[in-house]
This record gives sequence, C-alpha cells and structure tokens, in this order.
Amino acid sequence: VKRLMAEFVPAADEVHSLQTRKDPEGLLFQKIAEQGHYAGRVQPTNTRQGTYAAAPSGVLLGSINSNDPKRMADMLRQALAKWRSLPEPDKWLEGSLRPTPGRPEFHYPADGLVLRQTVRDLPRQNPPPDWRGTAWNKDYAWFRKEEARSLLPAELRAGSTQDVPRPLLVRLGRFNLMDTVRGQSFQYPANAIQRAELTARVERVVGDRVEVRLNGKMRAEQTGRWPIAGYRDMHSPSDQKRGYDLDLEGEAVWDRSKEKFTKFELVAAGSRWGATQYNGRSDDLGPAPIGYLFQLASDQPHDKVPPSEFHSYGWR
Amino acid sequence: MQAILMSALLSLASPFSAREGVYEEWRDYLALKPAERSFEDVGWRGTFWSAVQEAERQRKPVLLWAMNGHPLACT
Repeated sequence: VKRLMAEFVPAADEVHSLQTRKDPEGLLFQKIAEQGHYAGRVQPTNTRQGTYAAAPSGVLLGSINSNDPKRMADMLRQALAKWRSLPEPDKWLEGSLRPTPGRPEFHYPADGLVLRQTVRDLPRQNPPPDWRGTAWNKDYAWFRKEEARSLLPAELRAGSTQDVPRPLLVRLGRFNLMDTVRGQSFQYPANAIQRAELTARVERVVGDRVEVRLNGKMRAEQTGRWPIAGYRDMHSPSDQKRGYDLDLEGEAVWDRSKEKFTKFELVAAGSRWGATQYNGRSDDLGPAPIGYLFQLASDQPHDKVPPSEFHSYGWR
Repeated sequence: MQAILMSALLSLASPFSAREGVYEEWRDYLALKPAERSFEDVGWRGTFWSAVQEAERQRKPVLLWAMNGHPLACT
C-alpha cells in the first residue's frame, strides 16, 4: 500500500466539514464523494467517510471505506490505471484551489503552545481480547502565546508557584478529557467541570532555562439523556451519566529568551465512567482506569491538526 | 508483570503517590510507540486544499482519507 501511495499526494481531512461546506474546497470534495462508495446515502447517516483517489479536477479514480490492506491496494491499483487512461485535460482544475478562509488551521499558534494528546485505557483486569484492549486515540490542545505564559508564575524564580487560570483548565477539561479511547465523543458542558486545579511550581532556574513541576486534579460529571450504542439506540436516547476523576502530574521547561516551552509533559491518570454514542463504551460503563498524556507537538504537517473541539475555543 | 504492578498502583488514592518514578512510568506507558506512529511516515497533508494544490504542481492524483473527526487527530 505504501508503495502505491507514493504515486499520489496524500491528504487527511475532516469529512463532515468537507461534505457540508459550500466553498470551493467543500464543493470539490462533494463532487468527488458523490461519485464514490457512499454517493447519495442518507441512512443510517449521510456520512461520506472513506478514502478517495481523485484527479485534482474532481474526477473520481476510486474509493473505499475499509482499513483492509488488500482491498486498499486493489483500489489504489485500479485508481492508478484510470488515472493513466484519463485524458490530460480531464485531470486538472480550471484555475487553482485557494485556501479556504476560516479553516481552523489558520489559527495555529506557532508562537504559543501546541500539545499532542494521547489517551489510552490504563492497565485493568480482563481487558477485551480484541482491538479494544490496546486502543488509543489522539487529539491536540492549542494555547496562544499569552495563554502559554499564563501557565507560569509572573516571577520566574525557584519556589514560586502559579495556579493555572481556570478558563484554560476548563477548556482542557471540556474539550480534551473526553473518553475517546475507542472512538469519538462530545465535549462536556462548562457546568460539568466540578474540579479544575493545576499548580505550576518553579523548581530551578539556570540561565534562561526555567524548570517547572505541575500537579493538580480534574473532575467532571454530566448527566442527561443521549444514545450510547452507535446506530442501535440513536433514536431512543436514555438516561446517562459520564465523567472522570483524574490526578495530574507533569514537567515543563520554559525558555526565557525564546519565550516558549521547550519541554511540556503532563499526565492525567485516574478513572472515567459512562459512554457516549460513538465512543464504544456501551458495554464498558466503568468506572475504569484511563490515562492522558500531553506533550509538545512537532511542527510537521501531521502535528498541526486543530483540536477536535476547536470550533468552541472562541478564537477570532 | 509491569501491567500488574501498574494496575495495583491504580488502586491507591492517587495514581502518582506510591513512590518515585511512577509519573515517568505512566508517561512512558501512555506515549505513542514507534509502531503506533508509523502512519506519520506517509507524509499526510493536513488539509484537502493543500494536497490539491500540491497535486497540480506535482502532476499527480490526490489520495484523500476523510473521516468524521480528523484522521490525524481524534477520529
């Protein structure tokens, strides 16, 4: 598959946005998708998830929604054969596709703090013997420059401490500490955050290097009615509750001359309970152990993906 | 054995309170392993439009992986 993929320019993107927007980028995707495997589908949902091989003009070369390597390789071979037989004028766009204004990528805080989040179940008795036993997921948390600096004491000397501003912790608690180990979930409402504490303590200062320890606690619980079993109960939501109770520990290094974190590691470990429609927990309501790791993201394109709940950040 | 030890640590009042070094063990347990990061080697572009622009320049077709939730983040 990797060898075949070298014949393409590979991209990954969020499908709901692409299939609903009316800008040139969205319309080009919709043109491709409506020639593909889910063309016209409305039940059980109208999603156009999948992998699409296409000419830049929007001519579909092949598509599939599968992670089976053999089926994927077959699709790629057929797509390349179609590409080679396509008349040259049919391959290319008339004009060029310009970046779509308003995409969250344009808010990437290059001078702030970009954290990659990994989430997994922590060790437990009798984990499922299938993929769920080793499942993990990832996401991102973005902080503007002034937000990143506000994580630290105003005076950077050994022993000084700072309580991380509550709005930043609430954002983290609502948008990142969801249970997404096995799938997707939805953000917590602000009033679900019952405890949001994180203290930064300067341990040592050597030249421009400021070494910081982090520790705190986060707890949330939400009650309400929602489905928890994918398509099966999507039309019959029931009384539910979900939440987490986590301890936080971490280490960071702030570079005073660069005014940036050069190291940031934060672990949140504890328990979670409940389920949401697409997070695969309908038979695993807990409480059960879960852990999150936040680390500096790289500056590579695959690490510049916006947080999944960025639309609620309120950034303009 | 490590999993059993870590499971026992979780039964404590705080998962970090047992002894020195527990934080580092959780950090290493949670971090993505090299095999789990192999998808990064593909060189995914993070937006559809950027791949279309590049495909035009390279005279290649586009391969788009589109999921509910960005495939390179939370999907």
